[in-house]
Amino acid sequence: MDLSNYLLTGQPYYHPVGNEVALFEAAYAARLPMMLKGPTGCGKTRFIEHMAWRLGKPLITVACHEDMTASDLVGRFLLDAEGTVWHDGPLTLSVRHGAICYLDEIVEARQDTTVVIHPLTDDRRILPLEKKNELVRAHPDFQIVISYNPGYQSVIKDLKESTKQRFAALDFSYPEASIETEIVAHESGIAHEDAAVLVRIAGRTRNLKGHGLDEGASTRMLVQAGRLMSRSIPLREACEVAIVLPISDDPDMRRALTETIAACV
Amino acid sequence: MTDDGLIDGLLRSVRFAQAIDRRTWQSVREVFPGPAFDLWIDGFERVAAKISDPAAPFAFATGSVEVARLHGVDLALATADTATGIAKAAGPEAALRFLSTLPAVAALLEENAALRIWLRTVEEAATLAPGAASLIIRASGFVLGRLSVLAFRAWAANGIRQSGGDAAKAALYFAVTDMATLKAFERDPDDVAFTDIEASLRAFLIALWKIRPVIRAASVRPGGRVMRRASFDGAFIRVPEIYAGYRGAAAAAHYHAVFAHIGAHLRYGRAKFPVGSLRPVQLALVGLIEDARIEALAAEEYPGLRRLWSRFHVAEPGTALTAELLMMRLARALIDPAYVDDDPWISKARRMFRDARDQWEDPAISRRIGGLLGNDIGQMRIQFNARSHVIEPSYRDDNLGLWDFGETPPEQAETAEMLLEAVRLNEQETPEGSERRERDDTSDVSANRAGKLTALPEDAGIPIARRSEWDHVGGLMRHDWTTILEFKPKPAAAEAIDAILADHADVERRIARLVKAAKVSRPVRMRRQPQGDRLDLDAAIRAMIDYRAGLPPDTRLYETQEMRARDLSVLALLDISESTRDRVRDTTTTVIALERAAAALLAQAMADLGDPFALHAFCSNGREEVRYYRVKDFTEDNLAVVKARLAGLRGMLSTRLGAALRQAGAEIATQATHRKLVLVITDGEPADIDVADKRYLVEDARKAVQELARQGVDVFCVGLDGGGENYLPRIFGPRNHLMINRVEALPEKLPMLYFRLTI
Repeated sequence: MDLSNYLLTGQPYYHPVGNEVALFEAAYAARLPMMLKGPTGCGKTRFIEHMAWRLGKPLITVACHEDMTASDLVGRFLLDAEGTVWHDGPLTLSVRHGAICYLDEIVEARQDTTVVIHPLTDDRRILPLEKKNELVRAHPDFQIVISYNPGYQSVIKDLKESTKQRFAALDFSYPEASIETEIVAHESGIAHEDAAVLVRIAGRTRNLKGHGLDEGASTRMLVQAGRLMSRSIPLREACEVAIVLPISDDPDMRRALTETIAACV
Repeated sequence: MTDDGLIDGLLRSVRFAQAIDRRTWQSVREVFPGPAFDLWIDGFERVAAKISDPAAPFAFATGSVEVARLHGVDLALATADTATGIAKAAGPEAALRFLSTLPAVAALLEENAALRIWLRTVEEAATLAPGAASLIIRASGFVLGRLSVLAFRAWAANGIRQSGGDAAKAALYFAVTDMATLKAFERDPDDVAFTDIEASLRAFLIALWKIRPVIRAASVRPGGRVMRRASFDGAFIRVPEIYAGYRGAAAAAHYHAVFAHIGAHLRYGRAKFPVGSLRPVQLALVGLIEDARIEALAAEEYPGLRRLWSRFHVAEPGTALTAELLMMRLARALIDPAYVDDDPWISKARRMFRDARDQWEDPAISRRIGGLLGNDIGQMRIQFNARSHVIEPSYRDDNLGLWDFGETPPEQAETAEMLLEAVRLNEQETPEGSERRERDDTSDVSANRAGKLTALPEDAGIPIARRSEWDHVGGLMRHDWTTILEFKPKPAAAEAIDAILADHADVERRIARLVKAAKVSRPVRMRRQPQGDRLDLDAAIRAMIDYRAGLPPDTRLYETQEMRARDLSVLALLDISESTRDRVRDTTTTVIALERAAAALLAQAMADLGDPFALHAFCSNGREEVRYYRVKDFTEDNLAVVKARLAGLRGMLSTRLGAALRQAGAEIATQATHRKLVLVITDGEPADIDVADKRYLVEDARKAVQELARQGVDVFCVGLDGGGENYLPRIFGPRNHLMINRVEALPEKLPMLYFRLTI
């Protein structure tokens, strides 16, 4: 089967913050299963897209959710005029044909679902399709990557220890101010100075993490505020719409954020 | 109980009987059930002892019953403190009046919070103006019938301030009952008081500079002194409750300006300036330059702050040459670059300040420039009145925090006192502190106040059950081997628990959010149903395959969504053996203090969640004395009483885990829920004085866990002991226990763990 649909055509923009690119390349060379950790909107998904492009491999992304079953990952029999036909799920597809399989927000899936990846993550690199009575050996290009946000929701939803320990991990956090400014300016097309103000505002909101906010404003939020600004919305309004209102429902917290933004401009 | 004790008790009972008629006595027993009654008796005795009026006990009994009926037991118990407080400050007459006014006021005020404010107001009034307290209390009924409780508070505060201790004036003021005067105190909805935006201001300081100071709103002072400017000392800030002259959005902006200014002091200020031989005018000017310096630095970091501050600078050039006006103009000149003022003194100051730009980081320039400018003012022969001087604009603080006066100046004593108070609050868990508290509590208990009135003596348990025990060596069950004695938990001051809860406010908030998420029943996808909303694809295919293979197909082809309601009861079992008194490594808290905090947080979460929840504790002293404490039973829902009992738990004796587990299993078996969970919190290996074989009790506990599992009760254990991996897996199984190495984290971890287990 042709996975060319899953190949990335243009280079996804990614600004490295450390040596994560080299680390990931080494991990891919060894076909180590990788885990990307970090708060929401800090660039995990962008990073894996960038790496898939860099390595020239197809990327199959699965957004995990609570109702996902193992069949949704592995595949199932469907009916057609001739009888039953097996359809590979996204995981089987990547295993058979050699893609990077990216399970986004893996903790959202139920723990009994995630165990199907276990045989793929050790040196066996196999995927047993029990319903089809088939053992799929992984294509040499296949690699599994999962992402997960160790935030407060992980109190309820956490990875099993036996799943965790199969992965090597890269820890992502928000990039330092100068790099983040560059990213925001590049992604939203606003002037460097404006991006710097946005980044400064984000820094202040991140101070409030644990003091009323669960997370500070993410890089993605800043890019969105920047995009509004590039369509000539004034900075304070853009921040109100893209940062203050989405991030908190608490009127006190909103007021504090609005005042903080006013202080930064 | 000794004979003396018995006689004491009898005498006391006689006194109660004399003071209170039978019907009142019955209603007291009715509205203060169980341990609340002990607390009530405690309050009653204090009232009887402190208020030397024969009518006081009866007034307290009727008053507190009325308050309990309308506003709950907690507030009713609090009235004892208010009454004794008033008696101490303003004499028995005022206190008696307070007690007799209670029922009327309790009926007038609908909300608990309002009654609480009234209690606080009259107690404060008694302290501030002992002579007027009685008048204020008497007028309460009339005023509260017409005004909100906040307006009442403002009215009382104003009267105290105006009369300034003059009894005649006070009598005149508080006797006034015309509506026009009273109406003036009703708060304008546009007024913004500090408490309205406190949360926002705190967050503002954290966002800008990551500082979390102690902040107090200044209350009314006697003698007419109103706080007009904010004040800070170290990280302790006091602000006026309200700034006159600012309303609505302007008032909110003004408060933000105040906090941004003080925040800048804390961020860019250094050590205090020694006062030395500086003259008052120099002190004022050094302060002014320092204000300008920290504001300039802050505005470089946050340009928007300059805008925020400059709107409050309204001084204009003029001809009047008073020191105050010049200083206001100078303050504006230094922050507002667009401001034009050609006064030579101001131009000179502006130039000096600008020239020092590279040294703005260094507070010494404030001292230097301010000193020079002060000399100039002196040479210009302009009068400066230090007494009447108030720093302008109003968002700036009084700058007392900048100076090191050598010794505390008298007018600051009160601030220092509050500071000490704050420090004391923070240091509650110092070793001496907690030990002292423990001692206090025990002395309280040895007074044995309720023991004489209740059938159940406090210091002996009643046997409630005999439980078997497993002998692993002989491989036999010893039936009825242990005796479970139920002990009444001794209530202590619940404030200790509240303080712990306040320390973990953040955790509490997070738990509340989890509770909210968990309360809504979660949709669950039910597959292979005989009927439902849509086809279950996998089942349909399997049926089709069966059908073609000639097998009878399964007709359960549908799937549906169901809301799964929570159906679970929990019993938390606390180990309170002697070892829990150990101090946690590198901290000043004890294990049991943390257990108490964790249990309190859990109880709070559970009260919100609505799962049936019980909290029991155990320790043991040989097989004939396994002590069992019901801190909270499944049916109890008075959190205040639970907190009081939790606060009273003391670590002692040993850990006979198996017996306690069997008892807990029997307790939870009565619950009608689908799932039952026993959550054990223990800090050490099972042990008891009459058992030498270390493995014996471990094996017995293991057996007990297995028995519970057979009855459908899940057991999960939280271990607080570093060596737990040796025996916890053996007892509870590898998956049903959790070791917490950082015991400090227990209050946070336990409720979280609960959610993980049950959601």
